[in-house]
Amino acid sequence: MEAAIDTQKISMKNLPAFEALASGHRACQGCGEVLAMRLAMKALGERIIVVSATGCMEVITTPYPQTSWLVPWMHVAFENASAVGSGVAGALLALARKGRLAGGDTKIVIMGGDGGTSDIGMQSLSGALERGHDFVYLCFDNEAYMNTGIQRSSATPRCAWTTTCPLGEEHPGKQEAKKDLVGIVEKHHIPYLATATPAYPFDLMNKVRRGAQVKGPAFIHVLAPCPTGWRIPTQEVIKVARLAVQTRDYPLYEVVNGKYILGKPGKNPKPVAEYLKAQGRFKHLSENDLAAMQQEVDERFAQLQWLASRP
Amino acid sequence: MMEIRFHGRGGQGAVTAAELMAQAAILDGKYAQAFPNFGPERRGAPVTAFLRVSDQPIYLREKIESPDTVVVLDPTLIDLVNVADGLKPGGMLVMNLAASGRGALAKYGDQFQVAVVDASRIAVETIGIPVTNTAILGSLIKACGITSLKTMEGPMERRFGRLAAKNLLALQRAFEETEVLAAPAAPSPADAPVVQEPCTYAELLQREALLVWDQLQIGCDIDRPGSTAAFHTGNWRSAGRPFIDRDKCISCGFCHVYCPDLAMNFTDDGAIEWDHRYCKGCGICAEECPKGAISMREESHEQ
Amino acid sequence: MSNRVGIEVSIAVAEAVGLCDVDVVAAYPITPQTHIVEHLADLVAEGKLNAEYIAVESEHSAISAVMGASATGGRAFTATASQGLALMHEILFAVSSLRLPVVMAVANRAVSAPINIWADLSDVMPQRDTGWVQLFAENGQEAYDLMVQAFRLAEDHRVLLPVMVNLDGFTLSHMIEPITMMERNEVRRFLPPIEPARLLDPDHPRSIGPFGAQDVYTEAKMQQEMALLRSQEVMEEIWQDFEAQFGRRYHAVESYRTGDAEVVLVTMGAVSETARAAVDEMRAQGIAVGLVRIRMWRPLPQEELRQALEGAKVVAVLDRMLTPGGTGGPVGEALRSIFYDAPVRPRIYEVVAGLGGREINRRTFKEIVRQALAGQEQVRQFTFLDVRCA
Repeated sequence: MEAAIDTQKISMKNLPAFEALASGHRACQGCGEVLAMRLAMKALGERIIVVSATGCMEVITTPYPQTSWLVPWMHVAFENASAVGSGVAGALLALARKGRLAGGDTKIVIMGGDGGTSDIGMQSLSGALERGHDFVYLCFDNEAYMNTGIQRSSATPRCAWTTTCPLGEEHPGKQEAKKDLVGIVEKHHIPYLATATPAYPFDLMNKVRRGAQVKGPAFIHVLAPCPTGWRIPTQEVIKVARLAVQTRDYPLYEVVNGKYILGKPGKNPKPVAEYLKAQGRFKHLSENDLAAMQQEVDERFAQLQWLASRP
Repeated sequence: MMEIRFHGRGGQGAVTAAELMAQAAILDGKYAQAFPNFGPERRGAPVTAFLRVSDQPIYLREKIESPDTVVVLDPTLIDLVNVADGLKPGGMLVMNLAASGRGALAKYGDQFQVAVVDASRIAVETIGIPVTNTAILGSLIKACGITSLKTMEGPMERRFGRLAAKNLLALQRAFEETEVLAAPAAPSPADAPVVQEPCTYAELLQREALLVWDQLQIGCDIDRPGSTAAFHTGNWRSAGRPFIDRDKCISCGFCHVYCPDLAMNFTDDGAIEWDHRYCKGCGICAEECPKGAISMREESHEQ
Repeated sequence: MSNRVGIEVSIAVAEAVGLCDVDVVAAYPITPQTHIVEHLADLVAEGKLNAEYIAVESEHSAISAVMGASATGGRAFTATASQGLALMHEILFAVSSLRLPVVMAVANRAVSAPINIWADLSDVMPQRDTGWVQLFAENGQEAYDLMVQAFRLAEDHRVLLPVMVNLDGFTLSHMIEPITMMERNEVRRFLPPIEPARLLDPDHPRSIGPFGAQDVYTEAKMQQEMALLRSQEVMEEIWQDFEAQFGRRYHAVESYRTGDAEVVLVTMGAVSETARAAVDEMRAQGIAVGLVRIRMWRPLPQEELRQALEGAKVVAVLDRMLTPGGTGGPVGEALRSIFYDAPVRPRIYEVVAGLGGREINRRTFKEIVRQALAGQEQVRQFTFLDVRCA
């Protein structure tokens, strides 16, 4: 049977022409999430079934009677995309065994935002990862509930403003650290895990493709800037995502069968203040706050380097 | 009772404008309602908001179909949506238009009253950014009364905090600079448009229906892949479009890769082509072009 | 008959599901349903059933997974009870709205608190309005037969709706009793292979579960409602075929000794057998009593119920669920609605009893009939029959 996923490494020269998404979707101007999704889909090709959690990407791509999707797509609810995808996986196996599956090999792609993944969808995700179905999970993390109008999620970073962690006298912004979703997923010991951002489009596409080639669960965490919620000018979406990597606030790495592989870290990281000051949601930060954030970033990166140094 | 419809774009504050005006009217002892047109449209998309003001209690929760007044926050909308849709004959149009754009008013002048102000310029000069939702209220007050500049102070201060002073200045300036053009001659009864009342509720429903129930796909599926392509998001642009300098462009493809809306594409000859139908005008392509070959500039609205 | 065996009803239900060649079973353990899915896991593990058994981490995921499996073209089954059904609640609406023909067995059990594992209908009755076809079994044979019928009904292209088969927890699910088992080839003749009306297929992409605004939601609900109403005729057709092939006859509503009955009991589920025995004893004493049993609860066979009850002076309803603060139990409310516009209305005497597995026996029915005939006054629209009072 023909493999669902092309194995070739993607560069600008052999950029797949395939688009799983049509224009005319209702995403905001400069949406980093729909861009990340578009790129991931280019890497995956057309032999896929997409199961989507509720969220911006679901709403903006399927306003009845129109759909942006050119691949089979299903949405049920917010918290159960991983469970729906598990059922798709089960049926594909059973039907293939019984010779009732038309067409070739098909890859299952499950997707959700940060809320649909690390909050309300955490249980079904954990179950699906543990059971080891063959799927790629794409988490498009824009660090808040953007579909309902910018509310705090467990993925909202410390100090950030949202409408439910507002800048009050007592509590300016989110008081707690961002949940370590990638770390939690890593502890399920799945064969492939990676972080990516649309600022590095070929890195993102190749990671998605690598993840889709493994048998079993693969998880791609994508930092996807939301200009509306992050309070950044639409044209700066890519610049800000790039700064997240350049400042080591959001390091790019893979975990392949338990082995951490750190992307080129860059010798001279920019101060995290450069990333934070570019965003309206952090504009209230004092110099002390910025120093504390810098320390947090340094500690997290040192930890990651230590993990990557292990054989 | 006066019914008002606001036209803006997602993120421009049309809903806030309706809300501030309602709060002021309520402070004056009147009754008012402000409400958005709840929908899935996102930042940049043309949106509407509504306001009802009355001396008597308001017992209506329905949409406004025939407003007395229409307020247009963004001049780029005039060519995109029929802002006068449903406006009562002789009703008031409050328009944000630069002096150079006033030719656009010709088509309204003989049916409606028009109040016009360059709210974008006033906003830039007072607040520093072209957000016109507070300035346009000054114009609305000039044209229709409703409340006073003085009453607006409270709601504006609560809403904008330390930015209230600048917004109040915008309000004041717009009030002063608004020109209310001469009212059209009262239409003779013979000229009055015949309002076609739907005969039955069922007929009214049919006008709005996309599909009747037994023509829907099972489970409300959509079996036309990629059909949003029929929906042109190009009308979400308001702050310019990308222009490609062909002398600088090397067709490297980064604008294509980074475009969230598939509006920068390769032609068969390998050149980059801009697709006006879908470009929402985010400007990422211009920002990311490694050769500086793309710039965002004002576009003429005739195209 | 050679195929007549003594078997636990849960095991028989699982055997029936196995005979239907399901492709995917996704389930989570919960008393008193667990024996059903344990046995299905056995069948899969032993290679007797060529299916994927997905041991999900919650009932919410169980119902979600069977949706995914069904949308991919598989025949899918799950089972649950009580808290598990409550946890599924949100997704039950989506299954019927997306018109996915999954089948679920529910071993009816009270809902917490206090936590209680025994039978009543307070788990299923709140699911009344989720758009599923809802059937109730009286005995093991029915539970077994209904499973096979349920798949055929669900998958019929005139229906395409999920079907829920209810069996009382413990008093039915855990009973060992004689059941005439079917042969695999017989079931295959009765139940054709699933032909999905539409599916997730890369060669024919479609979007399932889109965003539907004000302009389409009402039409979508109308389409769903018409399919649910249609399912009753299709079920009748299936029951005729079933009788022709297996010799057992089913009806949406069944009457027993109602011909000249002055008072007619109305029941659902396994307590109906006890009610029948009570009717016989009361008849022997000269009391003109009959029994009407509701097998199909959704869609509600309104005309059949009206006809079955119209001659009675008093209709005595047993509801095994309290509708808190309301006008009685769900069955009583439904009957009142059916008769409100009728020229001649029987008196409806409603009793709520048997909550949390409290014993329902012949004495219960005799007491209900005694009260009904005595014209006992009801303060609200029902009597809380078996509650201890000072």
